[in-house]
Amino acid sequence: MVEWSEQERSIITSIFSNLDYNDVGPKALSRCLIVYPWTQRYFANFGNLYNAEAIKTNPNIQAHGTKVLHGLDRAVKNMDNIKGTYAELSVLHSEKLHVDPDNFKLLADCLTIVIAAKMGSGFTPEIQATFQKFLAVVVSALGKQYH
Amino acid sequence: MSLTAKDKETVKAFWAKVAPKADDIGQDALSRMLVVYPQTKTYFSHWKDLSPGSAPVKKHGATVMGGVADAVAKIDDLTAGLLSLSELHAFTLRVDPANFKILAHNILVVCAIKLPNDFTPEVHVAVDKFLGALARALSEKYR
Repeated sequence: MVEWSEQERSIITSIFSNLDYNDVGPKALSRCLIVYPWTQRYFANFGNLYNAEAIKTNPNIQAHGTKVLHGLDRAVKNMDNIKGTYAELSVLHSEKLHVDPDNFKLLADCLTIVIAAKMGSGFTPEIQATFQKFLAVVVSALGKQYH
Repeated sequence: MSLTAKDKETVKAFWAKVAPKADDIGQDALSRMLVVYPQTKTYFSHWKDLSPGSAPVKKHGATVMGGVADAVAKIDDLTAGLLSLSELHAFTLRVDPANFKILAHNILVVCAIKLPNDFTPEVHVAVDKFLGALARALSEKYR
């Protein structure tokens, strides 16, 4: 069982309550597709992904980025059982979407960098540690149902 | 995933912006590494103070960034350029190469914090590739 201190819980809820999902979601997803271009394999039918500019302005990517970020809301609301909360989503990513679970960490790293850019020096080492711990638990939960 | 001519240009241009803040960035990246990845503290048991912004962390952050700046200057042949640094890491320091990735990640996070408008996705990918190539050159002499 993952243990969360009161401080860690409040850090996570604070980050997400101050988040502009429509900005951070698209930025994180498009950064992932640009920095790790092999991740584009999952978006073959999203239209033009030929270069960084195209990716950044692609409306399908923008919509999907927002959707993915909202997907984290359930983990924020159920921090004591992220594994159970994401069991279905894990099955979806494995059986329907066929996403290599290594990719989850790549998106998590891009999200960390986008949040760091937004929060600036407010993204202290302690806050970074908590945020990365949260994302690591999410990533692990999403990979749990793969077989 | 070797560095293209464009990657090298991008890295050099970005590093010109990093240079005036290099010591600060080094200190911040190292501090974060020690806090976020506590297992990395095992390499610094000889330091009295491992807290963010402490004297040894400041000094070492500057040393590390000096090495990275050197690598930028030698970007056309990292293996040859970093030969003696590789020997140092392989035979004396014996840092597990997995940690190069960890430090690289924290350098990227600090770049995003300190240069949010310059650290675009296009710059991010070039710098990520460069730090990966740097790590490979540093690991050259390990075995």
